Amino acid sequence: MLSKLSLFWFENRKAYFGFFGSQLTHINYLPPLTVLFLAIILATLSFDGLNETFFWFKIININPLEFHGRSSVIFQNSIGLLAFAIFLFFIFLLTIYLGHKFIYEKIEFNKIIGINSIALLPIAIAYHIAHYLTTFLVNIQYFYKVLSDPFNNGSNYFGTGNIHVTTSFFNSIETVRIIWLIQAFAIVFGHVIAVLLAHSISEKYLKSKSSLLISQFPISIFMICYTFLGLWILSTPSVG
Amino acid sequence: MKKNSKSNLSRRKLMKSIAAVGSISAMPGFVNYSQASSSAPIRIGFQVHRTGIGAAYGRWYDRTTQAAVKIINDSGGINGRPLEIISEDDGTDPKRGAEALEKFANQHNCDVAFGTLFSHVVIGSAPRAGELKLPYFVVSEGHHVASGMLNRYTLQPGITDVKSQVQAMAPFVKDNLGKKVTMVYPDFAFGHDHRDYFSAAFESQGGEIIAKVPIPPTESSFSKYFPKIPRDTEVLYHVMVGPAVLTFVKELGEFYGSKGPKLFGFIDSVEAVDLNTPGLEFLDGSYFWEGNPRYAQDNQTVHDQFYRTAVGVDKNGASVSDPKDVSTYAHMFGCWETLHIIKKGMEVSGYSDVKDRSKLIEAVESMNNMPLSQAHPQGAKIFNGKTHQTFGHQYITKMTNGKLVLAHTTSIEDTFYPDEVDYTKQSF
Repeated sequence: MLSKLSLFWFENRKAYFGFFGSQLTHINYLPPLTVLFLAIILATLSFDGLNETFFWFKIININPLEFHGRSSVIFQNSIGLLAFAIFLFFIFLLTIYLGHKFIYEKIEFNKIIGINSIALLPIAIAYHIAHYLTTFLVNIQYFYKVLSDPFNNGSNYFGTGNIHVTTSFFNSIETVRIIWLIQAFAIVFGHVIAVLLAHSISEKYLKSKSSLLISQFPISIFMICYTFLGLWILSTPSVG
Repeated sequence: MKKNSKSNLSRRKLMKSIAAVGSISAMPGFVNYSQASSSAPIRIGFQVHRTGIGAAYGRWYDRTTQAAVKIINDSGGINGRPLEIISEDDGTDPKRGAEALEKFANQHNCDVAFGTLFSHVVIGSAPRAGELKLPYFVVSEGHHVASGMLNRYTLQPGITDVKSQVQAMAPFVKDNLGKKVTMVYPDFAFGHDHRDYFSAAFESQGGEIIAKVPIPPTESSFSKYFPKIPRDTEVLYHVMVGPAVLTFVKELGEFYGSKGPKLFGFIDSVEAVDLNTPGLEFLDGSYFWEGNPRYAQDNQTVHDQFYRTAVGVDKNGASVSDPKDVSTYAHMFGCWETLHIIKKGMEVSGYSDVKDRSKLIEAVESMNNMPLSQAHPQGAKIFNGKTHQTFGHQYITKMTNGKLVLAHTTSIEDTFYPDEVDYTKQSF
């Protein structure tokens, strides 16, 4: 499904090039439960960030400065993840429902809800990039190091076995600023794509411009709020 | 179609094969197990904070450990056997810590376990070490070992504990900084230890704690707490930790300007943090406890020089491969020293395999004086075999133009307190 966001794709033995998500505008139907699937994907990513924030630790009443590790919060985080996924599922249903409630055109909710949920896909990718960028920056160094000694027998094939993994880029304002800008750009860009995609999908089945604009209003508000949530998660004090 | 191979194996052929195996093992050059075991590596299970809230410490504990192992192996290993480190990530998580010990004992066949920093991991793991009868050498600086809450298999011979560190600060603070102290600390066990140990030691010296200001652990803004600091405070003792430390220092600077009380803190607040980070300027002129001075001092010993070079730390306490990668210099020496103590304990006890684990513990328990040396670059130590805790010099440095300059070295005696346990009375 993520491949549908590619800039290049093949269809009927022809190569195509288009903006992120262009392929998705050709999809006419997806089952309603796609909403649940995509809500779970997005919720997993967002919650994986949220569960490390001091805000979440306050909710579950655990001191983040003497955090007893992940095995001490399996229950709380499982409940939190489930609740967040269900919340996201219903809030998305609600925004789509409200958007189509006050238009004159007759729409069958069951038929359009699945396809509307595709708009969540670019946000999921954006979160993936933003949230795991810092982990990537550390673990790629371990990978680089291990590459020289894949069998742990003391070999040093590429001369990278003796490098020391560093995290100093988290301690200087200049590098943190660059990391933050990349993360913020990914999140904002993901949401912009999502809004464009939602608009483009609706154009397929809504005829009048007023219907189109009204149908997009609640989802746009939701996207703005979710952008704020994403940026806040990245900037708020967190554990680990 | 092939016949069943079983039918091809006659009794005569089987006997011939057995005889052949016997003759090979009798040939010169064939090393049987009993001979191999004498040159097999000593396996040390290293419980390391690779992930979780202790990861910054874990990276440097790992680096120091690898450096110590190289030095020990290059000089002949332990009783002629090389040292092998088996690392397991404990996730800075007590449950995973205990699981790591089980793996060391049951899967990796480790001789001993070694690590780790965070107290809750040690407290969560030590009972399992006792059950597994696995010697567990910790580098945690928590008071839990000497307090008697652990067991005979858990020892802390390579790093001093927080109780001795804190109480040793009292004479210097009273004689040099002031007699009226206000303590600002995070409102949980770590802060409470400082509150209790320091106030007891300081008051017994004739000083006065005029206010105690606990800060909730999840607090992110501190200005509202500063009015609680009495105006006649001469010394502000602070031990804030976590991501809000920079904000704390910045707001403190804004609150006091240049007219504040003298500041005394523990390096734990800014361990692995570059002191030239914007916002930390206000700390210039303030004093810090350091387990081992981060910056190479004018009176640097040859042993610190050797240790620093071996680990790959420059004179500013940062990695030689990345000057912005600041080490956890105040704590990580404990790994180096502990490994050297394990080596000495194994050599003295004539350790050969896991059946000698109790002999190893008894050998370490009988250690006492550990002089300043390549094995103990942080300084001389006195190990208390009854409490399984080491005692040593503490360093007080003053931040001067962005560097920490040594102002005082405590005596080892300053760190002593009455024994709270005698582990040697516990059976193995």
